[in-house]
Amino acid sequence: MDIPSSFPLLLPPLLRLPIELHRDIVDHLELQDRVRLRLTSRYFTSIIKPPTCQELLAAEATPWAFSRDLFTCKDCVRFRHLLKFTDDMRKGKRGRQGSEAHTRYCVDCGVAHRRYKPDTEITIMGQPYVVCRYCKTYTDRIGSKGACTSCIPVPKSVQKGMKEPYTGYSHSQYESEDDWSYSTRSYAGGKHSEEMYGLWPDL
Amino acid sequence: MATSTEAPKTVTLTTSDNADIQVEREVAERSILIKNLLEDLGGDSNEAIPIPNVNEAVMKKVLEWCEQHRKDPPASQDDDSDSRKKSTDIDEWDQKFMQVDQEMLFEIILAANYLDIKALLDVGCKTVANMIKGKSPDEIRKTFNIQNDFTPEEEDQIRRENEWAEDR
Repeated sequence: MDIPSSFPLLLPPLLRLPIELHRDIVDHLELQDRVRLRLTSRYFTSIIKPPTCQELLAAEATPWAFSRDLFTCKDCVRFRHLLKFTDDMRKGKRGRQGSEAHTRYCVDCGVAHRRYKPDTEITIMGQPYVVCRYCKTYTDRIGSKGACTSCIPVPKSVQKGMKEPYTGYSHSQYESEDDWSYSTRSYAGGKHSEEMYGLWPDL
Repeated sequence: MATSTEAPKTVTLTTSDNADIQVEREVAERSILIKNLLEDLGGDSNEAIPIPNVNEAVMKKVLEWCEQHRKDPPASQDDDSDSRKKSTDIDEWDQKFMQVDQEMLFEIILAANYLDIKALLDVGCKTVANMIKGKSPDEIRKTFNIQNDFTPEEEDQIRRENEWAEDR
């Protein structure tokens, strides 16, 4: 007489609920919890929509996003750590809850969408970076003539501070994948970056 | 049958496992399904009402909640605001009431949905939401016994896209 047949009983209890009740539960979740539930299985990926740019921008003001230094990128439509944004993307109108926050994009998207002119100088947390005119990646290893050190190394006389040899593409991959070691490294290398900065050719 | 007009009206509910439960009409009418059925049957019917989707154990639990909340004002229609939805606050009695194993928890939710008891359904969904809150995807899987059915490539991609959510 029991209505639940043996088939749904094979499922774990949560998954025995119909889809509309899963949606009711999801409605009670904050953005980050919704996304984490979405990551558990194909089913939840299919029934939970990825967060929209509007939702992310609204969630930027939450203590959760604030305490983790997360900002919205309009292009990849996700939260990213502040070290993935140039300083001007996080200030004024493009700052948290700013009137132009919806136009903010991360450095990776800026590079991928060719938003920076080659040899553009960008600043992340006060550190200068260059978008290399040759390999099109961004790096704090600033070489000569709007290039990174791998494409056009700076003259030997100013290279004293550098220990590791850099191979253009792979090092920028490494940097964009690992916030922390990269920030530590650029911080430690800060002095050296600033020395470089003085050597910029006047174009 | 009832001779005294003072005595509260009762109804009999027949559960899926053929148990008859007698309950005060006011309590049973927390269920909109039962309320409408009783109205359709017209006044003082002594017929037992079949509830084929709910077994005795779950029905008793649901009626316990209905008893506790028998005097609650009906939920207003326009109470669907986002702030109410987002809130996962549950009153103390309800929190204790919901401290049951997962089998029972989800049976209660299904029964509340079937019997159309919106407030109980809400408490159930909030309870589940609270079990999800602050957990990593892996912890959520463990809690609810959800199988990770992504291919390694899919998982890799979806994690990369959502790396920000990993930090709790």
